[in-house]
Amino acid sequence: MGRLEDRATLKTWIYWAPGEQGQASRTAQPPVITLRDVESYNTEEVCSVLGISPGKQRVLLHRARAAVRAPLEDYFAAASFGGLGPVR
Amino acid sequence: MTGLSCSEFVELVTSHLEGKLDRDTERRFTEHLAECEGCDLYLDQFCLTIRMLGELPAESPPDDAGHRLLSAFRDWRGS
Repeated sequence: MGRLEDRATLKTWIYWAPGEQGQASRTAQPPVITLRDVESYNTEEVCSVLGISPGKQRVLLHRARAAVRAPLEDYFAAASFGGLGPVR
Repeated sequence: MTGLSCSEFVELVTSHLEGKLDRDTERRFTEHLAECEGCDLYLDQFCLTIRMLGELPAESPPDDAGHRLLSAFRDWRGS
């Protein structure tokens, strides 16, 4: 994911992540995944801002992360994990 | 207690990463991970995805803007 256009595409996926995107557009709230994984807010802050429970936050976050990962599967398969550094 | 299926495993990944699995489920998660190559790869990809999200090019506002945004959202919810 070195090229700028790839990163821009990734960002587009985030905003269209199923489950969260629909909710976000209805409520005009930022998606949980944007606050947590892009902007690095913690669970407590996100729950406070969005007025949701930690459990609900985790469900939305998981669904969105899974939706972002899915289209990246081919990219990951083609890339050498070694070149991407330690994963976990 | 029976082992986890792959479909159960993938649903638990975020809870695992957040340290929110109870002890027994965490043990079953780890056991499944050790014996399932596909789920091991899935977890790797999941973690990579999260890392990439954190490395997106910053169109971010300056540091103090984050706190002002949080306040704005709170005010907006309260209105």
